[in-house]
Amino acid sequence: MIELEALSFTYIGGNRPALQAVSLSVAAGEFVVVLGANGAGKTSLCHALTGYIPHFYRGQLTGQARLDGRNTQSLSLAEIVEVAGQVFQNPANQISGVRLTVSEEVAFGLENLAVPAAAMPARIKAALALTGLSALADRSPYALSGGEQQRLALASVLVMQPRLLVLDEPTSMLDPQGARDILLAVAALRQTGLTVVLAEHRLELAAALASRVIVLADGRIVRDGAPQEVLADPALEDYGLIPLRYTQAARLAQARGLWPAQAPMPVTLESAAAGFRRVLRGAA
Amino acid sequence: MRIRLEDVHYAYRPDQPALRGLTLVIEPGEQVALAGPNGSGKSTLARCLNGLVQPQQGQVWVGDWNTRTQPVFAMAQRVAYVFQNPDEQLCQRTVADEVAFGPRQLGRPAAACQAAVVEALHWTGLSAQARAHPYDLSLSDRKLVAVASALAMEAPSLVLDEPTAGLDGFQLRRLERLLAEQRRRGVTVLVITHDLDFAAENLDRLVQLSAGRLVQDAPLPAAWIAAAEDPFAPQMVRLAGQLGLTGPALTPKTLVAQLTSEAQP
Repeated sequence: MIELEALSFTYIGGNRPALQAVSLSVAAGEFVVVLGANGAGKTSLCHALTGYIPHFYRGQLTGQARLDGRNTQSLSLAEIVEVAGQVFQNPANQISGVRLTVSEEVAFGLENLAVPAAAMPARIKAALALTGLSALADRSPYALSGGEQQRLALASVLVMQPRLLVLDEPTSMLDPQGARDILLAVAALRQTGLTVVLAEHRLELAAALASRVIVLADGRIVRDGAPQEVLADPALEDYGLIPLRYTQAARLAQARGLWPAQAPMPVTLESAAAGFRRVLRGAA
Repeated sequence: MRIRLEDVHYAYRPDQPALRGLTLVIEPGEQVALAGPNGSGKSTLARCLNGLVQPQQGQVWVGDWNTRTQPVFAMAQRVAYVFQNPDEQLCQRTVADEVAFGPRQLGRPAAACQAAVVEALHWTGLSAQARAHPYDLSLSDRKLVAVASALAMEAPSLVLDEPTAGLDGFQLRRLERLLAEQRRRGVTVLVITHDLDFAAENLDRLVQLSAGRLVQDAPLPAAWIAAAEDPFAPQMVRLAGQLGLTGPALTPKTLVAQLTSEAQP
């Protein structure tokens, strides 16, 4: 779906590279969660995947990004948005400001893609339903809360039916229930072949959704693998991530000789419960 | 400083009440987590404490001041406030000026302002950014600038609206240390947060709202014993529930301690 090859990028005026020799290949249907401290390069990686780097954000770029085998530098943004959609960290940067209602805002992208008017209502309705906005269709985008604006930003990208969906902390303003519901709905779209790249801070959400987890530090990929392997990595804290409490508890138990030395570290409630039940049985 | 809300009602629009009869007392030096879904009234409650929102019915007391009898600028001496969105409160050209803004408005002497700024920047880890323009910083750093601005007010109570959202692990650890320092100084703290693991590990008491009403108010260990089935309770609470542990387990440390005692023959 998308490949980065030794991609480095320094923003104009930047005193250090935001991305350093990043090589990454994401296949269709993967759900990749990108973790890392603030400033580690998560947002820049998102921009590089969707061509905003270098088409919108200018700077010095070496290496390349290929979308469906084509170098994004030789594609226009208009060509890219037919394939790849991005939800920005701040919904205020995404909402067009020229539409009076939520439905019209969602229609904006479709109009730019010259989708026939007759095909629009059904697609808009589906996007609003998926993001839980159906009841707010006639509201002004500016009468929405931060969390609702984030839902709107996602709806206006989903409606364009991208094959690659890049989400930069898309639910930071939603409560846990809202965030999980909406990301599970996105994850369900993988059945249609959708590829998802999600920048996040919440490790438990990452463990529940990801087929693969990447950790960035100082613009480089420092970990890349299956969730149970990356999320249990003892070096996580050095990269500005607070390990899952399940992992912390198992590690503490291991230090006291309660958790077997060779047993894998749990990254979900289920695996932690199973492991600690064995600990309790062993002691009984 | 003691904070007391008495049967507080507030509606932004008559058909959409945000607070529906809320009564709550926060004792001096207590650190309280305020949780609940989006739209449950958390920010509205917080805004009652510094007089930004005046209840349409009921009273709010901060120490011996009723918020009805004090203008907002006077309330700022007793309640320092950090908005959910830092961009709603940043207005100066450098981080240092931004942090000095509050104490200057309160008429503190220049030397006292300067000392407060240095200290607030220290606790938020922003000392090296003192000369930077706030809008050249990332969103999470701007949030910490807002926190520093509130700290510099040196008020006896501190209200933080979702300070944990968007912070990374390094920044969360910093927030933990500065809350511990506020505890040492006896500052009353109210933290709105969705990060219940953070609340479990750092705060004393949980107040949960739903649709403008108080649905739970208990000291932290007790608050979650009944919540083990809640899919969004802290990780250790859910795990303790799965394991059938009877005592409170809020943190990995307390969970393993529980386990050790239950595993004794």
